[in-house]
Amino acid sequence: MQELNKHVKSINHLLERYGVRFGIYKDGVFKEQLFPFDPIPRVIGKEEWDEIEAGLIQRVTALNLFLSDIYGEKKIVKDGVIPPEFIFSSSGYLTACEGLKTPKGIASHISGIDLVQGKDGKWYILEDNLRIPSGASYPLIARDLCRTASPGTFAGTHVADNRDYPKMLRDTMDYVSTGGLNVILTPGRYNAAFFEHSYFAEKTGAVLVYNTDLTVEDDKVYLKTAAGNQRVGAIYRRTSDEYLDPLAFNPESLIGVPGLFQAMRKGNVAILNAPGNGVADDKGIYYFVPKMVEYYLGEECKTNNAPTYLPYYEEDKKYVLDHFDDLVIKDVAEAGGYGVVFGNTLTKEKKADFIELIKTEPRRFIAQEVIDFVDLDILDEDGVTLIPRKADLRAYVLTGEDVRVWKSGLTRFSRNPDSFIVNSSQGGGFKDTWVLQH
Amino acid sequence: MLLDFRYRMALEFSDPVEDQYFVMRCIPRDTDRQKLTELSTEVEPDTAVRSDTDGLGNSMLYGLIREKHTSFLLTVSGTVETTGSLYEEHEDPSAVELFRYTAPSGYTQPGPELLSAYTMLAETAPADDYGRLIHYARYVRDTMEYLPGTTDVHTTAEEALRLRKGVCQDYAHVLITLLRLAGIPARYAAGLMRGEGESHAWVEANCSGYWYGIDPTNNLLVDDSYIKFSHGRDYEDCMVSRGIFRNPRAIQTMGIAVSVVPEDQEAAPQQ
Repeated sequence: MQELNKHVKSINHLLERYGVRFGIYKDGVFKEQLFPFDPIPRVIGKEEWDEIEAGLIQRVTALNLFLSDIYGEKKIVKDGVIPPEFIFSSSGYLTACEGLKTPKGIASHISGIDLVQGKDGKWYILEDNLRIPSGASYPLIARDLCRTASPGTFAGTHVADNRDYPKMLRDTMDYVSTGGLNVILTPGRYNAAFFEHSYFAEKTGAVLVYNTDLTVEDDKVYLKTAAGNQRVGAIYRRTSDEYLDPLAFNPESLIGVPGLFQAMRKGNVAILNAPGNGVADDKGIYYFVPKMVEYYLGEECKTNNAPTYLPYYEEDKKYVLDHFDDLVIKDVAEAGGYGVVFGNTLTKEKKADFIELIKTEPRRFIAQEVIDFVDLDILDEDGVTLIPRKADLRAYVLTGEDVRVWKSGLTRFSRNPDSFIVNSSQGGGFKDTWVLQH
Repeated sequence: MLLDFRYRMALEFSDPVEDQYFVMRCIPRDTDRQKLTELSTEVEPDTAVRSDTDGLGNSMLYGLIREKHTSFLLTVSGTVETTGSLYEEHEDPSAVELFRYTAPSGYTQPGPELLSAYTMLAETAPADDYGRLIHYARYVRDTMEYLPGTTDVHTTAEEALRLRKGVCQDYAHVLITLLRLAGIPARYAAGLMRGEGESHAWVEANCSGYWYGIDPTNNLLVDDSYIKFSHGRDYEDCMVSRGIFRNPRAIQTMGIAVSVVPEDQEAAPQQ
């Protein structure tokens, strides 16, 4: 590990040269920024990992069952486990997806589950990301570069090889494919994850395509090539649901594929991840995930949610108003670290306004205890000093024939020493995540 | 009553277009109040027309014209048998499905204008849901002025009420928002009414388990002279026509002609 520290400059230089960037929209302007790499990995021991892994498999299994249920019979609502308001007023719930049957019954093929480790040693789930979470390419490529810079580092350790991610992704696509090519549909170069799309296309053998390369005829999707149309069986996409198909969603979308959604409804193509998944990774629905696990699997939930309160319930609302300063309040409609407010940071007037807002729109907010999570050391710019920073872990769970957790993950840290927000869109950096085999 | 209906959409393009996709929701859906007994569809240029039902059970017709063309004509005609009942489908008032129609949707997010109208109406509103439906519908009719061209397909309920102007779509959105504020499940209905002109939109509200149709634009209860194509949370779920074509230079002009006449009366002259 010491060895790696010496190479931090050259690795970051290589990342820059490879174009490992993160695009971000701020105030309506597209900016590309480098995503700084810190050479000190997060190391997770085997026993600890086994526990995390079992919990994530259980969680993602339940989330997929929930998605099939919600766009079908809605048993979990009829049985009173989740109030119907939380489904129908969720911005991620799509009426168009009612009755949708996804190939092999899988809706969330790639799930990015964000965890933090509390000072009590326990891991907590921060949020579930079921709408094609990005970021897996960062630790993958960083590991490659580290291996190049310092080949000895991995020879003598028991770090699980993480180079199997593209294979896992390909297996998932092949499993749900309805027959034909696998494609990666990118909205293009001005998208946060463009680098990742081209990287995965290369590594999985899928064809990198723009929307205009695809066409739908007789409810089937084709890739237009010089040699004629070729049938497409699985589409990994980043384009958000709203813009995916102008005939089914936003009619003004110019980045969608007309007819794609109907092709999917007819069972003629798999879309990874399926449209409509937003209903399951809604911050309001998060509260109910442990209940889903019990409901669908009849098991006790193995993952820990951060203690969460829903102002929707009178009892919880009272608690939130009484303990406002100790809580972090999240607007369920916002993502990526936006719309997150720490109660104790507000001025008196702002606080009064916010409390009023919670009272009038209780369904819109959740409140959570602030988890005091462990700091990880990062290497300061001088290359010698270690400084502690807040960090989380995004674990990648792939659902195909089995549910598998990638033995690696994206560890993100906040640049600002006082900040608990580690989203890459908020200007942090990342580390590799080492999972030990023994 | 047996009603003969015809819905005709003509598109003209200023420059030849290709890869034109269309999705239409202009087929009367079968309900307790209406049954479709005859249907025929014509499309020019000729192409295969597929049909399916969407997530809410509305019928769709869709298709694709690859070749270059400068006009598109779609005609759907047939016969519907309507009953005089003022409501349809008894649904258990606690049914999960009803919550779809109490949550605000894209066009029906209440803002200050609707909230203050709702508060003002609360002072005089009757206690029962059906009474409130009639009360709110009358308010919408008395407050809004029917003025085509003042709003467009993007206008929300809040914007329309602020303008105090609009067309049937806006009247429906305003009424739906008021009903949902009162906790009464309300849905948007698109279709035709007896006579000639364009397609129409109205509101269905669930009072004590029954879906009542009310037409706020005309301040009428929906009876056997209405034909429903589709229902949904708002306009977005019920767009009669959706489509896209290739050629950024082409400007599209749309003409809609509909007619609904009782079968025992002479058919309206062709337009």
